[in-house]
Amino acid sequence: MAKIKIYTSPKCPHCKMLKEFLSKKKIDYIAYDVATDKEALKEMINISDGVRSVPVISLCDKVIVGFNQGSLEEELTKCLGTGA
Amino acid sequence: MEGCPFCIKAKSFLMEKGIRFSEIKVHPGSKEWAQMQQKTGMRIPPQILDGDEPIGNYSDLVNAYATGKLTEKPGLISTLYDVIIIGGGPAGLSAALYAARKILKTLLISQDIGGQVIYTYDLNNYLGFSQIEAADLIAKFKEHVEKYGLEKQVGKKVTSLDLTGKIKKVTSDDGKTYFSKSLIIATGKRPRPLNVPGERELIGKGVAYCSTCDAPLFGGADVAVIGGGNSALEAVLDLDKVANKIYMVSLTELTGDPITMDKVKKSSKVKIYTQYDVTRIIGSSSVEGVEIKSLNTGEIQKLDVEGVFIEIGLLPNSDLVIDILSTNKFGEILIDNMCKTGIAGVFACGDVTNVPFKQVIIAAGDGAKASLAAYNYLISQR
Repeated sequence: MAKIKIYTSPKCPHCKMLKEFLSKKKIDYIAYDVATDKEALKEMINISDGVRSVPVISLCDKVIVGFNQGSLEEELTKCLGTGA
Repeated sequence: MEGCPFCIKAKSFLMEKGIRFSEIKVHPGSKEWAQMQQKTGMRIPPQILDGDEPIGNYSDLVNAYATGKLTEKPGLISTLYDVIIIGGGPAGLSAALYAARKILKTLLISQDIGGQVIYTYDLNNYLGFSQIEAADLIAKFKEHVEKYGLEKQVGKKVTSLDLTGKIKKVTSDDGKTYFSKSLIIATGKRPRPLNVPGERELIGKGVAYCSTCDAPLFGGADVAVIGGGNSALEAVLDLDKVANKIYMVSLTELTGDPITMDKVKKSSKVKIYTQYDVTRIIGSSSVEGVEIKSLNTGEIQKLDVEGVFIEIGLLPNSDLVIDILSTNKFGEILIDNMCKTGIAGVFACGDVTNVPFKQVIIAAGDGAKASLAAYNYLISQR
């Protein structure tokens, strides 16, 4: 079961870059398209304390808004262990 | 020691050459003064030590450097780059490609890879690609540059620059300082904020700057788009597909392309307020409304909206150099046709500069030019 959930929209370039970044690192994730999946949109807003902007990343007990490679790498290491 | 001119000279020399050092302040009678005497046998500061080995005073330091005694010691000199490029958008990546192909020792520091182009879904005007998604084009740029083994620090923000000496110093937000013989500034632009109460607090919670990304999250909602140019019109069209009602608020009459403007005006969902200013964004945990003021009558009204899309243009990311380099009234760095900034060895390129027409292809071309100009500069310094 993937530890990482990402909430995205179809035309969001940051979301696409995020997916490519995770795939390149061979990290499993579940992606939700919040443009069509209203339940996922509700969940995203709920876990992120009201955020209505994509991408949102949920990993371990952390929620990250936006794609910043540097800070995401740090969080991935904390969540998945070294070598993430 | 305070009031010691050769101490200042020694420190400047070490900084100029990119040599790491720590400073121990002394004054006659202090414990540190006694230690200096004990370790060097000398009583006049400055005294320079390499580890425990005394080098001598300022002129001994200069001699040691000139004869190569210092540079032979591993670890004493930080890595000295030929060029440091700040920014990872099309200008910075293109500069990096040209620098790498000239076999310059290059470091790219950037908060992200892609820059503002990744606020766009697709491009139709980059030569060779009749239609390409921005993320795909940037991935191709990155792949091309990485083929040459580029050293990069991504996710790092440059917090200060020291351009006073021949060796340029670049400090990032993790406290690291990098040294380089030349510098290319390719920091691009960022969305211009409204600077009204409520905006900053509600970013991501209804306040948005990327309609391509976030418009689909406002299905069935009432929203406002602030701005009257092409970006604002495009945002309205993005929202027109999903939102219930769209208020377009502009200080001026609409100024975008007639075809886009026509589409917006034809939409039954859109209500346009021109000659209106935004005075505040309302909401505690998320956007609940926006307050606007008529420029003609001064009348204030509240629009009940869940989202505010701000599309009022871009600001150059020139804050780091605004007091050091010449800029125009928009804050763009003034450069000549060789991307020179006015400080020897410091070049700038792309959207952060006064180069007209902010296009990906122009930024990429400009980055190449900056790198070739930096190469010429480095050759001239040999």
